[in-house]
Amino acid sequence: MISGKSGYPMLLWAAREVLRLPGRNLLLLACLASLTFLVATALLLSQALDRTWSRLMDQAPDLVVRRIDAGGWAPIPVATALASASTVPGALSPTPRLWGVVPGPRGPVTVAASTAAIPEDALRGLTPPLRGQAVVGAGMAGFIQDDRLILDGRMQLTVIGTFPPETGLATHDLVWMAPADARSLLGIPSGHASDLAVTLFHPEEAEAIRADLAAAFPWPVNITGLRADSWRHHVRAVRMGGMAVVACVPAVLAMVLIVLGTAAGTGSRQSQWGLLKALGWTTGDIVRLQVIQAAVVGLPAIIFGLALAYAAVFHPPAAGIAAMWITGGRHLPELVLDHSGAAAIMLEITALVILPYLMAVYLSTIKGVARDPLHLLQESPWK
Amino acid sequence: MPSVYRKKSGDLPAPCRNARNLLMGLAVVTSLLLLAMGADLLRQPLPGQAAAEQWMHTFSLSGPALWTAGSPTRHPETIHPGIDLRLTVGMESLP
Repeated sequence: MISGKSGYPMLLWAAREVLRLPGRNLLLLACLASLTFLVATALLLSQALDRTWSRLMDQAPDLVVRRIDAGGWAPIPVATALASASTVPGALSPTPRLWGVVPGPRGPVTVAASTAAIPEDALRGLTPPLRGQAVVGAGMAGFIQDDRLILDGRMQLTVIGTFPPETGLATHDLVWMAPADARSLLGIPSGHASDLAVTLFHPEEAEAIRADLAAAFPWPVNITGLRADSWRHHVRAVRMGGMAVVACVPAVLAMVLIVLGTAAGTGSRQSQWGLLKALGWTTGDIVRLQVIQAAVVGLPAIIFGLALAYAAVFHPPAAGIAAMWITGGRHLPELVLDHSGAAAIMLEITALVILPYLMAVYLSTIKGVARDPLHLLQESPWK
Repeated sequence: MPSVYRKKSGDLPAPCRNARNLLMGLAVVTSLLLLAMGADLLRQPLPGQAAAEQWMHTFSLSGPALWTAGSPTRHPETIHPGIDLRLTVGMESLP
């Protein structure tokens, strides 16, 4: 008699039941783990990309002012631009940027130079490049031979350092060089910059300040708001997560149907239940046994699936592949994503998979077992 | 009379030993996985993340390097309002 004795004996009995059909239970475990892995990968990556992009874009300027003329983009005179931008209330710390995109050894690269001194703690062991020197991103380090980097087929630089690989989301293909080299390579005269980055006191006022800024400059300018770009990244990430949830619903339904059709309703099971009832087991005992048996398979399966998804999203080599696959972007081998909020997502996914699964087992067992033991024993294969 | 196969009174009968081993194995593996994930989740802040944000701020970069340099997704400020992007082949080296 099992009634009233839950816990370890029932758990052992459930484990024995699992071992009676190892192949089927292994398949069920693989099915649940795969379902959890697919849903969790998309949702965790969506959340992690959204958080990471959001934190990165917080460091980006709110507005970028670029001078245009009849020929397209034109270098911006730094002194005039700074004086003009400082007359606009709410536009803080206008910063001239020296940057551009040039052909590198294996495709286009971003070159940048800092006109201001960089704090020592930010350098983290890197030496600011002097004339003829460069610090390159980890994505380019593999293409450098004899510490020589040739840009645009005409400028040769000596590579004196590499940005840490884990900063790849900002520096993957970045070439940091001296301002004089950047001016020479990009064709920017002295006293000019590529454009002007502006931070706003209230980023929500970007649209209003754009008009004031445009009017403040003595030449035509094009002003780009990066908040819109940040929002675009957010929408991209959220859409990815939404698609995963939509795809998850039919997958969970299919899993419930499989459980209803095979795991609890076969004739051999019913005859076994009839035998147990004839030996003194109650309906409650059998239902409890089935639910515990389902949990013995289901909980480890979900944890395996979650662990695989966690590794795929937050472990750098796999994270880069997952991000490339989902965003259609580039492979960043040492991509580091923000994992805040991942615990809540994993709990939600656990509930999303385990509750329908256990509910299906519970209901199908109740439906099958709530009968007279004689009728249960008469089911196949005892006929 | 106790079975001769049971050496101690606390021993499980032989048919239950595999079940116990299965349960213990699953408990150990899942606990290790949960502990590993929990420890990783508690690791704050991630060193690479803070450094990436610092370089982003230092150079006032416009977007993450997940997309190729020169593409509008990476550098939205390079989208000229008056020039069709199909006509800009070779112009990407301009500032």
